[in-house]
Amino acid sequence: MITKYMTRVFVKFSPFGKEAKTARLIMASVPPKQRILGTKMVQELITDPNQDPMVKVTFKDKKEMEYNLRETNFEELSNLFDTHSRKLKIVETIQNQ
Amino acid sequence: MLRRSGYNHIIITNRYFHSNIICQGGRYPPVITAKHISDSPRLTVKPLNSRKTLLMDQYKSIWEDNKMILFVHYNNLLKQEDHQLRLQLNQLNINFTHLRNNLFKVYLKNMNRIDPVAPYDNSQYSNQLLLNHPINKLIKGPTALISYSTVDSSIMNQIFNIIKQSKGKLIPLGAVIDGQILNLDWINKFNEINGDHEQIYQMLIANLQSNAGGSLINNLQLLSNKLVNSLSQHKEILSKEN
Repeated sequence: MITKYMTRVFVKFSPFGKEAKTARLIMASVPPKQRILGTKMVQELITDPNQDPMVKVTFKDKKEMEYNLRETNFEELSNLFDTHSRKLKIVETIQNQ
Repeated sequence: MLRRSGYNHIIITNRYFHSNIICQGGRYPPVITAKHISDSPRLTVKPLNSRKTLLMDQYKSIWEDNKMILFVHYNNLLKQEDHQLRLQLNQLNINFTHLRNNLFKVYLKNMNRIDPVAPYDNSQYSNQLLLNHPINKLIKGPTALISYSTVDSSIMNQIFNIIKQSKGKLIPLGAVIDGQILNLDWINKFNEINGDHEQIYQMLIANLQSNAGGSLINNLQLLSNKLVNSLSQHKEILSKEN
């Protein structure tokens, strides 16, 4: 997963729920160096099973992407985030030239 | 049990299976290499000197020796942060252990057996295997254990303070306290209790001995006293008739 262009990653999940694996893999995929450079990680733990788990990512161009963690797995989510990250990468390379 | 021998060696005595493990290196935490110097034969699935056998023994000792085990998610800790965290926790005699998830799941599955690493016969031991341990739900992604030998809410509060200082790098997931699996709500309730196990028992006894507790005991004993009285009356009547 390309995390370079993310400015904020918000994850809401229940540790005993099925969605915990996806949520924890997303959190673990942001490397510590990236956090120092500016990606903010926010976690919220829920214990009420009626609440929906979610992941909300804000990119550098202030675009927000929000998904339900029960309906998508880690690979699907990383593909969805990477599509926008690649667009930002192309824009960055054009600007640098 | 840890004891230092010489400049760069630490010997860990495995009290379950009477074997020693030699650790080399002056770094902290010490590098542990499994080199058993015991002569006692022990039948294991993996080689006796292997790291997997060592880790399984370590997980067994953590699970059985500690009454308070907190499961945390760690978010790519830097080496320095990890060392600092371990130092902070070790000052309070608290252990911090990174888990190898699959091995820990194997331990959870085999925890009811006398020696979890011994080879098993399906027909003989199938009843002893715990196939769906509830803790398995927490062993997904990078997981670590914070363990303490006795049940003490003040220690748990101190652990949570250290977790707060880590600023989201450690996330508490659940805990096993005195054999009970607790989620975050229950851990927060546990943290509100003042004092350790013995102090809580003393408070309970004091409450029962006080005025309010005295009436409670009287009410509880009322029915049994009535039964004793009626039976004794019945006995007297029977003796008079005879």
